[in-house]
Amino acid sequence: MRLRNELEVGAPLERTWKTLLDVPRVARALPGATIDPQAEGGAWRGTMKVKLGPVTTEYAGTVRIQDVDEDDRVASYRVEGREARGQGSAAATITTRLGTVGGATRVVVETDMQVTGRQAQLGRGLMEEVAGAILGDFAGRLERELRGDAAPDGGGGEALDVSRAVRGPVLERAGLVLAGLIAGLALGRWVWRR
Amino acid sequence: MKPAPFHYEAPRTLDAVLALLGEDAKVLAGGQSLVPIMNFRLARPATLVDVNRVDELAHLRKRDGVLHIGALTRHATLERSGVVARGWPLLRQAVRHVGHPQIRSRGTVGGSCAHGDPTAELPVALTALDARFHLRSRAGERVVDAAQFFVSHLTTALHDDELLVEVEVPPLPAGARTAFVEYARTHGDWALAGAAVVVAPGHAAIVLLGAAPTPLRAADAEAALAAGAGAAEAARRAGALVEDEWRAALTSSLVRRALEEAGA
Repeated sequence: MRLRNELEVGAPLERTWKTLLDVPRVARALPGATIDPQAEGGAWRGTMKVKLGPVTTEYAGTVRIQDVDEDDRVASYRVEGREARGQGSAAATITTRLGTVGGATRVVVETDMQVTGRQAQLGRGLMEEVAGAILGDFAGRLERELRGDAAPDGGGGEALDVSRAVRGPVLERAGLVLAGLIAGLALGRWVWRR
Repeated sequence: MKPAPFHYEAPRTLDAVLALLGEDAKVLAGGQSLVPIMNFRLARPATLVDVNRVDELAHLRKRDGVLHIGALTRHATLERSGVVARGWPLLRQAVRHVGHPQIRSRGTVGGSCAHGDPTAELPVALTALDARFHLRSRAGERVVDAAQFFVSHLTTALHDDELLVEVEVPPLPAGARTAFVEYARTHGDWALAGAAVVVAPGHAAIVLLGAAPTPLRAADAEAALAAGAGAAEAARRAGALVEDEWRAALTSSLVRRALEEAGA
């Protein structure tokens, strides 16, 4: 699944670029994420919590800088994680491209994501909404971080409840999918018990 | 089989790795070649120096048009990289022939080069791209080109106390097109023959896989191509470098296919 988002950061390009290559600093601006400050072989271990109404999914995994194009200011990251509880997994290649708009920096973020497990059944529309909500929040926090304001509410540990940012009809559909899943699981368990 | 006993070290910094290297030490990167030969007890290093935790070796960066590949860069990273796909498509074309996805997710660029297998894909592609190899020891760093780096079967210019830290690849000439082809009995098996080609106006590189104890530049075929000969004639000259009749025919047809793919 490919997603494309754009965000504008009120900071000069060079400063934004340097910050983007500082993975622990970027992770601090990502809602619901925690990260080990020390990398190992170019990979940082961390966790990420995504909250959608009553459903919280926690992923544990690694993030590494996949490649860096210093000439064109393009950097990409490889994120790989498994659900802390459950069988699902998520992997993504995230490419960020910087450009200047006035005194600000435009960041085009392209995400190529593979999700397996129950979360995959939520479908593309919902995942786009979730990614959009997370990135919107991330842009605001990154901007504050770049301006040198103290990290709000103790960094990125707190998961953002994306259901607030997700549009009604999509959430309704997600509710249906979840209800179906829960019903299916309950039925399955009941059949299994017999 | 299981390997002979060995001492294991996994330092976090390049300096600590260099301090441990010496006559009886072997560097462990992805382990896709070293671990099998240790299990067969063909290799019995006294000390294994694991470099997987060293941050300074894990980078893939384009700066001033030149690609810098840290030795710990995985094959899979090269395969997925947009920077590589845009600027050095030959590396992506070549790396797709390396083993299977599981092997590519562990195997490293540095490991593949330092192992020096003449049927490995990356050394052939890097030779065709005029790559330079950065070798570091406690005494300092030296830089060698592919012709100097690959010495013979499983033998490179690396001394016992040296580590391959980075491979540097210059930009392709303007308008260059590239191709990589090989033949293996089954997909993912060691290739029996292959070729990497770079073709651009006024430039030709043809490097053969499995034709010699090192990646082999078909200089005669390159010159013929630059002088205006067709793909068929260049392929015939490349095949003539191989002694065995069947392999010569195979190599020649692979070179021809690669050149046609690259539009020569």
